[in-house]
Amino acid sequence: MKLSGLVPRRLQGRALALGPVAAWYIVFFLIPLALMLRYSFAFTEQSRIQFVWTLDNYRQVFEDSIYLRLLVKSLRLSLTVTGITLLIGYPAAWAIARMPDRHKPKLLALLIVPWWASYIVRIFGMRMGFGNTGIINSTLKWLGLTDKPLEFFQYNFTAVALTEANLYLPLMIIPIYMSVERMDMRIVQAASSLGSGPIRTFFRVILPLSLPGVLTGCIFVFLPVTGTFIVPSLVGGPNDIVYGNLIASQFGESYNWPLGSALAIALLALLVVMLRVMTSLARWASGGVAQ
Amino acid sequence: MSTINGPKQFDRRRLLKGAGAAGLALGAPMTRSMRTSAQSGELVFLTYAVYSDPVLVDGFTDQTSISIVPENYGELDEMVTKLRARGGSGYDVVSVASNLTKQLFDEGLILPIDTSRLSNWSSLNPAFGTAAYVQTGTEGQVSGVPTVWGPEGLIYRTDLVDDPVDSWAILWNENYKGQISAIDYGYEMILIAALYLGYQDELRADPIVFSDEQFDNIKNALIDQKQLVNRYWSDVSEAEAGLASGETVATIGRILFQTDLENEGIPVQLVAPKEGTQGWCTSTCIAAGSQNIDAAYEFLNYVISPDYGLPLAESMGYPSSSSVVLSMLPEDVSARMTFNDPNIVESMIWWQAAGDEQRWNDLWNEVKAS
Repeated sequence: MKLSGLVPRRLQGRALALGPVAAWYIVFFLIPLALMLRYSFAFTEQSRIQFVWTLDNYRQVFEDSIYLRLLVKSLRLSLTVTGITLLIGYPAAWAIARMPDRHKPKLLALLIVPWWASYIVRIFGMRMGFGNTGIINSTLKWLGLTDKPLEFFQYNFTAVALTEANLYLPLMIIPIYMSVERMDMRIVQAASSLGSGPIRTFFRVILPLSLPGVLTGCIFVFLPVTGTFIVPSLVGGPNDIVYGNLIASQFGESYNWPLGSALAIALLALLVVMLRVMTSLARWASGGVAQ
Repeated sequence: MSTINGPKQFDRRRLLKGAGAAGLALGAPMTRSMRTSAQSGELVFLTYAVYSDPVLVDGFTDQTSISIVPENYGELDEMVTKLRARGGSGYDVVSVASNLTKQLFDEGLILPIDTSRLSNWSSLNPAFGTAAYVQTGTEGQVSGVPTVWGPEGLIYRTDLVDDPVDSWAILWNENYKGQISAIDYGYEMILIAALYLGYQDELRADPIVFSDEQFDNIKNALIDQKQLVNRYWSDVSEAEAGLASGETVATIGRILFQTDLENEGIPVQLVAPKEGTQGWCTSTCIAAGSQNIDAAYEFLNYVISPDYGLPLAESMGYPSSSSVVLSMLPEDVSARMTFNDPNIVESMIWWQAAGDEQRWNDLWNEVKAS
């Protein structure tokens, strides 16, 4: 059968172009996801997975207060990290966008350079820099400025949040940069010349115009941080375990893949809902303002 | 025995190496080695780096011209996950701690071993050869060859701890809030809490079974302790770094810690707590998927010979399960390895199978999540 029998001629090129990526997503995303969904209805007995159909895992996820409590902790962490990256990232994106054109590629490249190193390396870099025996504390002690290390980066929530923020900052800056960069500066000048002060101009004109980029950046940072587990394991303290650690442990030491799958699916569902809300907001923001 | 690293030097590079391994291990559950079972003339050895050190295994290759391909794991959970993921295939021989031999044997991931094929079997200390965690099979078949063991006591900074340290209670002492570290291995933490609470009788039974009330008490004790803990470490270098910097003044300790830290000039002391020292015996087992059974038996015989056991004690500081090897060691070496207690093999609380593995895992998750 000829391809033209299945796909209208004008779409054939598109089908060819999208074929490989579609195949990729089917094989490496949809099928594994379907398997995980299946696992989430199975159960483990004596370390063997029984492929029955049961809702017990989901019941456990929603009835056991541990899971919900840790989910709240994960959300608190991702909100904090999103906040930090936004506060640092917005001015940075603005500054880069207002640079002369010849400097912009260099600055953007600098932003990406840390991503050339593995994230494990970057996590340990943070620890070597800021830990109690790290470079900063050692230097302060050597200079005689302190006799005890400053303990702000000692296996705690601050360390986890700062490390995550360090990992994801470029993902906040780039989308904001893109929306700020193409902003029509004459609108901003018009606001000023019509008597609007800088603060009012920012909140009434600049921020609404860049809101789509802000929301995209927030999505890029918020979603992965909600599912994180490596950073809390490496720089967090005994009280900084989050939801992602619990999922990881079900696939590792606890060997309860069905429960782990149910935990992961529940998180995925929550994130999909949040993504929906955030993209609707982004669409509303970009549609609600004349560009 | 969550992790043991080979090199003895304690330095920044080693810390990083251990740290990197920890990071990799965290991501490890979903990765699988693509290797199939070894070619003949090779044995894939799933083990801690310290047990596959060339100092120990090169002698085997010299004798048999069979080379050892190490596939090192960082912690026991990782080993179990790897074996389960491939149904025991892809590996020939594997190091299994005493609390896990029965479980892996029952799951069919390790093969029963015919001791009549091992000429060195009779040189084992009888306490190991007849232990419940070894005599898992029927009719003279066992789950593995007990190879190396080690007591786990308390280690503390003699310059930073004023109270006398002779009890696990130091890990619950409010004076050291934020200066205690512990291991991120639920099984061992439950044993320690049970020792602290006085459940010695339950710990000596095989399998270890706790009542509901005891489970609750253990959980509450661990939650109380968590308020004092600065870090649940997951490998040796992390534990040693805490003691070396003084951030940690007391933790669960092994012989290796004391050797390493003394070499660094750090004042530490390893002690046997009065409630009992706990410890493990690691067996070398044959993985269910091995295609090199004959070579595997040769290796199993080798690991309880002096060629493996002497450097194990002298370079690594771990006692062999072989009486013959122990009798060949200088007295100070054996005294150190046994906490100066000649009867330690009888008096120690051995890691044995948990009666309800799932419940133990859940309990630890609850403690960490609390």
